[in-house]
Amino acid sequence: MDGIGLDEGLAAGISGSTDGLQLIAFSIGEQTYGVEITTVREIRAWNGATPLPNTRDYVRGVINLRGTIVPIFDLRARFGEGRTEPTKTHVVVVLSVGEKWVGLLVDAVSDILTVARETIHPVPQGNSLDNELLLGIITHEQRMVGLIDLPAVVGWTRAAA
Amino acid sequence: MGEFDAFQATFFEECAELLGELEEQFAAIADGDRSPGRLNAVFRAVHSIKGGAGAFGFVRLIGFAHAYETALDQVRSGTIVLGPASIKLCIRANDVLADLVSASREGRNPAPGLGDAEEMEFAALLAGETRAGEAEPVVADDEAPIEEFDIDFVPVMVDLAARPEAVRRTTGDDLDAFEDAPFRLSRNRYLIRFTPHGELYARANDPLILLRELASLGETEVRAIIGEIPPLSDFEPFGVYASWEIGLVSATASPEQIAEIFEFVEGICDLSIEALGEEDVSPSAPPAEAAPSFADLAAALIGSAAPAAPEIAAPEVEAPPMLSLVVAEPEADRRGAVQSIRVDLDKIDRVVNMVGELVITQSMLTQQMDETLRSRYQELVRGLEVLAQTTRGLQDSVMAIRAQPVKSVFSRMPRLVRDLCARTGKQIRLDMVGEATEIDKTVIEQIADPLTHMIRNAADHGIESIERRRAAGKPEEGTIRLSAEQAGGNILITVEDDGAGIDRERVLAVARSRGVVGPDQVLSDEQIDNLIFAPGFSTAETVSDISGRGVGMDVVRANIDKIGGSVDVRSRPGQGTRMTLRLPLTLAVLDVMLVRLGGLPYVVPLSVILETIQCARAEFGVGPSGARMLRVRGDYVQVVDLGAVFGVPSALPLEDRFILLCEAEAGLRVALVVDDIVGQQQVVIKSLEQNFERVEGIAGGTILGDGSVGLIVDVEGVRGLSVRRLAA
Amino acid sequence: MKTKMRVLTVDDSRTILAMLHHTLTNAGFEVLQAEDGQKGLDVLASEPVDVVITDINMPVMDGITFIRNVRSSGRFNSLPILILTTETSQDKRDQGRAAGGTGWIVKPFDPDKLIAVIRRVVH
Repeated sequence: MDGIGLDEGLAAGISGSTDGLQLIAFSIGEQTYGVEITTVREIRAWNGATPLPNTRDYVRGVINLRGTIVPIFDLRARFGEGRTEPTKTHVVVVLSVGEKWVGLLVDAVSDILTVARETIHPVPQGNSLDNELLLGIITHEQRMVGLIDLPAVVGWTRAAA
Repeated sequence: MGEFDAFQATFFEECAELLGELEEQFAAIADGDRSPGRLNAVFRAVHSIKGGAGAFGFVRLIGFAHAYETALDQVRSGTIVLGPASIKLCIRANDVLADLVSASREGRNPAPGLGDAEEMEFAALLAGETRAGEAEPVVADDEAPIEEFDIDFVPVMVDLAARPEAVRRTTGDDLDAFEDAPFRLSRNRYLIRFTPHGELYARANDPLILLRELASLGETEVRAIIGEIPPLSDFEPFGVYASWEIGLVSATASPEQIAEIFEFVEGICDLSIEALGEEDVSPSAPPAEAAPSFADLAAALIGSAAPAAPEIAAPEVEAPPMLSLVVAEPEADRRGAVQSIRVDLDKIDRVVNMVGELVITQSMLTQQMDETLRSRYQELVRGLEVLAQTTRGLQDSVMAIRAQPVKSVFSRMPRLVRDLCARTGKQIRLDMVGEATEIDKTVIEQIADPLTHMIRNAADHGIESIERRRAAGKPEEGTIRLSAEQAGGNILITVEDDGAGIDRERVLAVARSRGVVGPDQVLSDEQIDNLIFAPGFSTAETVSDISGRGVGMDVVRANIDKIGGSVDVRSRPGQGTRMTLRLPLTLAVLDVMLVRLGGLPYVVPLSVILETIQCARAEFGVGPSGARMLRVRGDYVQVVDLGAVFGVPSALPLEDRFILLCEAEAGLRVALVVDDIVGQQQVVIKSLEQNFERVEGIAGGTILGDGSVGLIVDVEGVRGLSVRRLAA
Repeated sequence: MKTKMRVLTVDDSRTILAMLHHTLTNAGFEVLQAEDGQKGLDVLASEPVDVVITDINMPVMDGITFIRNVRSSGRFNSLPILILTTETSQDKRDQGRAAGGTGWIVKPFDPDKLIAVIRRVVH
């Protein structure tokens, strides 16, 4: 398959202190977002998805991940930037949300970051979608990284509560 | 789950089977079959329940099972002959037993007085038999007065976590000293004389072990008396020549404790235990091992003073091995015995899932073979063919492992019908046919509730009261016939009654008043009958506690739909009603029709498809609301463009497309328009909800031959969606 | 020292088999199982066994017949056989002994007592 092994990336990223937070950062256009590395299960190249009828516009459909069906969420569409026109170079980040596994469709995986917990800032008031979908903002080497609130992004905030 | 809980779970699982067995055996016994096999089987079933209950200390259950078993033992031995009254008593006792098992399982106290009446009747039965018999009571010691059983059966909790403080006699001197005589300093001396008989050896008792156990009580001095041993020429291999004298010095051992060591050999040896009084001296010689005496024995045998090797110390003489184990049963019978193991269902499910994946992988590989590859790699092609065959065989075998007879569900029904008779005052006989029919275990679990509802419905609404039956010229006793049979890839389960049949006028009136059926909609008799499965539909004039409030046949429908089955009802006014469940043989694999919509693959369960029609040949009409209808043999059926409902509009003109005529809930039909029909295949059902959520109109997913996900169409859901689209 | 002592348990109750298995394996025995006397004979025909624990009331072949068959085969004269039964009456026990049973265990059994009884018939 087209999966990218995590080991190399992990090896490169294990430089931070133990109380720091390790993130996988990925990009949507100019924006960078991150999720905690412990939630990441797998990273694979986009290879299409079967669309699901009558569901939210940012749900791209479902894929077969070694025999189980995993839903794919279009992160660009989720942040209200329109649907992604995916190519073979687009990437699906498979993550676990509670008991469930989900995939996020992103443009590219950019980095593994180690950040101190104190550097996480609250999301500035203003953009309501950012307020809804991000846990916080991290400034890393002059870049703003949005820390993703996974249950909110996949739309299970209430269901999970 | 702790070990103890696991044992309890095993016990209750076993109880359920044994109770089912009791039902089944008594059904045959009530029909006049009193063969010893059956009588033994019922005895054993009750006996096993008692045995297990004893291990967990379920006092009331033990007590009742014991009383019941005692009576059955007399039945088995022919002392008590089962008549109609005593059979009824036993059947009631089965119900009591089932209730006591339930109470134990749920950890609550059984209802006060439960089973008391039955127990008294058993006692009376036994007493009657005893009086009728000889002067000597026929009933054995422990079986006699039922009131006294508690004395015989003091349940001992098997506490596996904390080992009980109980008997540890064999662990040696110190503990016993503590228990019995903690501050006693003087020691008792005993002389024990022990002469085994031949029988002792024949039963595999071993004097060496007994002597070692004596040694564990204190200090022993063992002397073998070997003067009786003849010269080797006269030596009989099975002859018994040796005896022993043992001097025991112990601070604690009582004569009773010494005797207990010889408990198993009582009557098959000469034994004397002589107390020689107290001894105040310091320890004598170091504890003598019993073995030297055998060395002496061996030495005497061989006629040399040299000590024999310890390996040959075993006192019994083994006969040369015979050719084989001689068994009375003929060879054919032994082959007939089926060997079995018990396997956790989870483990089988894992295998089923993996085999499902294997089937998919195998068909993916086969699809990759194009003509070039075929001609170039013929070995590979042949290999793939073998793989395909083996995979198919493996799949069939795994499915067969999960198959179980429907008996496990059927066996609960006689009890239900008896309860229903008691509550309604009706007389109903339950006939069961085809209990051996096998079906996937998961399916069996799913049909228990629907079947219960169906039987209740038949008893409550189908069978008339005695007065009404008499007035209609029918026998007072109504009949419900429950049958199972395999028909192709399906199992048919039928519940048939000889009651009044469905009151179609009333059903239709209620359906119209609740908006289930439109005011000018004309329905066939068959469609009206099937309205009883419509959601929330209930025509019971009084809400009885039998059919329950509103939850009735619609639940049956929903449950059966969920497992890919269907349910149908046919009724004849005044003659009865027949409900048929059509069930898939297995849940893991679904037979589907693969179709295409806007270039995407979807699958529709074969079980709901009535027929496929080319649109070019179909006769369409327009319904009152402007919706397109399909005309099928005089009826009009709602047409649903599946692509439009799923948001994948078709690029094809209507006449190039196809119709799947499907059956949705309550016998309502719907014509699904699809772009193309690819063909039938088997798929493994995958849940969407495992990682996502429920999607309206979709029953689940499956992995197709190319590795992509195909969605399984939920026909009833789609019908609902399209109705709402029309309304919007 | 030889390897683990092997116990064949013969009982038609899965509950009893499971409990015996637990108790005996905890005590360091290797446990073989059979659901009736016939299956017990089948096991004995192919597996070396150090001691047998058998129920009396079983389908297909009861415990008494089982013991009788084991003894009459001649191959297992020195194999200790313990009768496991809820029957407290001398009756069943005597029948079992007459058939060739070595000793007995009364159900419900106490784990320590069970082990103690086994130690009384086997080295």
